[in-house]
Amino acid sequence: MSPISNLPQRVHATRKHGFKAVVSLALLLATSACQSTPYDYSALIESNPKSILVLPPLDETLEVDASYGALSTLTRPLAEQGYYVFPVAMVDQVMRSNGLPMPAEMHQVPLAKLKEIFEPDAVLYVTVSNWGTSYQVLNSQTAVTLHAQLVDANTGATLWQGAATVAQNSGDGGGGLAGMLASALVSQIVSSAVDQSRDLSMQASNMLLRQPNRGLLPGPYDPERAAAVQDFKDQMAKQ
Amino acid sequence: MRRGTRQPRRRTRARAGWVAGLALSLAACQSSDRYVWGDYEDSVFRVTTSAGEVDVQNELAEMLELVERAADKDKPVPPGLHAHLGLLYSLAGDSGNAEAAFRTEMALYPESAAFLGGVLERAKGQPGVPQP
Repeated sequence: MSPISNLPQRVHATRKHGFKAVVSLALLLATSACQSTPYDYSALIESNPKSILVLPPLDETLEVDASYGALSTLTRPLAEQGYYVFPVAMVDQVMRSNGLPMPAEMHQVPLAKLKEIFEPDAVLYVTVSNWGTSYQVLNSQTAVTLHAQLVDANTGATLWQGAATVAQNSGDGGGGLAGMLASALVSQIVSSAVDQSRDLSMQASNMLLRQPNRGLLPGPYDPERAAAVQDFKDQMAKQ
Repeated sequence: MRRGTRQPRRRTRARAGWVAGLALSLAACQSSDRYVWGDYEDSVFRVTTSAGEVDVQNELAEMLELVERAADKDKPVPPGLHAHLGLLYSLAGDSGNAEAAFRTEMALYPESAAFLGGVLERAKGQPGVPQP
């Protein structure tokens, strides 16, 4: 039996201590997740982008709100990471009034053209591959999956890429770690059941872009950038 | 059978522990927000999904309130917020305030200067509202 499946017995035996044990185990796991082998940030550090153009995400789900629901959750984690993020609604408007009504068409615009109109340092291409609720026999699951690629606007080189899924189970069918994680976070935001997918998308965006060692490094507006870059270089040197 | 009925309650407690621990540790991983976000993300969603039917006056009121609240807290508004205001003004047909908002964005965030400068330049060709 794994240590995790032993926990219920301990909780039953001494409730208070059991609870503490559970919390500290969770803390240990979560902290160790912060310290895993980092993503290779060499290209990102070398390119050092300050401004990021986020295009409306490509939608693989056919859910009506997937693309723009996800778009509305991407600015915040990028900006809070210390990057300048172009005004996404305005960018969308400019694209549409230039005869590009669909995200798929916007993603086809050559970098040189994007550079000419917006002058970004980097472009973030996002794809939504999961959005919304699927109903099973005993419960339902809402899930959001985002894939992202950050591209150097001058060279076209990939500077960073990642993916994140956040899922929430309605029933108590055992959602696994991801499900519990999501319900903990979602209940913090006071979800209005109406737009659960957008709440999950906020969490997915945060996880995608801000998770230590997996998300983006802090950008130029973040005073912690220098330390984070040095930290990455130190970890590389150790290997 | 007894075992079967008791198991779920224990599980719930264990789960509550997990949830509290993870929420705490994630909060510890991330510092507090740099910007005042208010309703900006919701406004972006409404504007981009409304197909031109958005209640512009309502969006303007929300965003202006955000600017005020940020000033009260002595914290900055997010990058793009003033450009978003400019878009809303131009949708409302108010070209004077639209231009002022774009210029505020350019002053706060020089990264936007080429893009918004271009928007204003193109708008000069045609009288009236700057068309984004």
